[in-house]
Amino acid sequence: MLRTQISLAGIIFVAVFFETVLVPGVWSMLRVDLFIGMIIGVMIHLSFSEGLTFVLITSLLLQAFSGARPGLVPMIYLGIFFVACLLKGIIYMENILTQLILAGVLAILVASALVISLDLNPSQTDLVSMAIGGVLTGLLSPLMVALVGSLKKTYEA
Amino acid sequence: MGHGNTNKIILTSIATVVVIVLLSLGQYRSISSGLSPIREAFFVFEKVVTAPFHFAHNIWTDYIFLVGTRAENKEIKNALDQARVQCMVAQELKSENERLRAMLDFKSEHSDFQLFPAQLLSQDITNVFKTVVIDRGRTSGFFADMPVVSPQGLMGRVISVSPHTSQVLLITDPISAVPVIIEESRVKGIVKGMGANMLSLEYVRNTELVQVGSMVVTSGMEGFFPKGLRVGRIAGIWRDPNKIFIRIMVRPCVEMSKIEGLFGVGFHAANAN
Repeated sequence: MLRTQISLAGIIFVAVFFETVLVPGVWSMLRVDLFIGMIIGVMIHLSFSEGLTFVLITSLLLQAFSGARPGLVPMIYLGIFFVACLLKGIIYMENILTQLILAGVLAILVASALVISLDLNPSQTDLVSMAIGGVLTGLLSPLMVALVGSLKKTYEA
Repeated sequence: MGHGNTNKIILTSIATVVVIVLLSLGQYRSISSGLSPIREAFFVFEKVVTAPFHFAHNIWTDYIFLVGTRAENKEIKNALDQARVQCMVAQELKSENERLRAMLDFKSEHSDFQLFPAQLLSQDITNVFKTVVIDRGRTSGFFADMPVVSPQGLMGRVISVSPHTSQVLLITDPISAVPVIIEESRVKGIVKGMGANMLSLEYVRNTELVQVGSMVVTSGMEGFFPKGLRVGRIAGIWRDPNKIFIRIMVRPCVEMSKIEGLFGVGFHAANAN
């Protein structure tokens, strides 16, 4: 379990580099959330205990890269984890298309919830960047799910 | 109840308690300083990852590209093309000269404060909150609540500092508030971030004379910022006779998406009038 958690934490560093350096370097307003895909991945491939521990610890790490109120980032990602756990019993999560749509919808929902709760007036460019970010998050999520799955298989072998 | 279910409940309870404790302590910004070792680790990671790219870039720009340019120059006999290249070089030098001049002017304008140069390292993981991480920290003279500026104007203030990195809250962040004064009319107000590259000037009474295009600068009152730093220009005014305050939009002087060089200003809140 510990090896899996350490490897996943290592992947998180690469994901943060991608999210905060590479993507904003292309378009400063664009954010692509790779962590949502990882949450779906751990929910599918790991046990509830392992998944929850991973989400809690890594979302605390992610808090270091955000100006959000302390606790808000873990709350959002734990919320996503619980929603994904609930949906696991309803929909077939192993399907790539399901993962793609779920991650994209969750990313857009989180961004919209933040915009509404903070009473912001986003410009049209902001809305476009959020929509594109949601689509890209959805597109990259199956890759992150597969990454978590392959990691699990490697350690099981 | 099975053993697995008990574990699930215990873990869920722990996670909930952690989030509630963090959220309830969220008003104390010092908590985020506890996360600075993570940013430090990321700083090292970023340097290691980008090092081969910088190396390859340097080889390309300093060697291969120059070899290619030399070979190409030998082939080029047309004087007009040479002149065009020279013109392009001159234009690049001119823009660089203008940028350096702006930085120099800024330094001489604010010679009463020590300025600490820094570069952008990474941006916020969300596109709602507007913070950036810069590559200078405590060892370079940066401290919490230090104002951060660019040659164009005020950018924000440091909210968390580690030995080699600092987290900067930009003035466009929804939780940012800066006491300001309109330069021409001397009307005071508070500039708040709106997430996008636009600010809202609040608490200006309906009876005050305010004009579009007026410059808004820091007032230096009860805040973290010295007096007279350019914040932005008034871009729009909406008056409603039924309301006490005017709705004013301010376009920041600094284009936050195009940040290049920036400075930390050696100004302590205790120095404020």
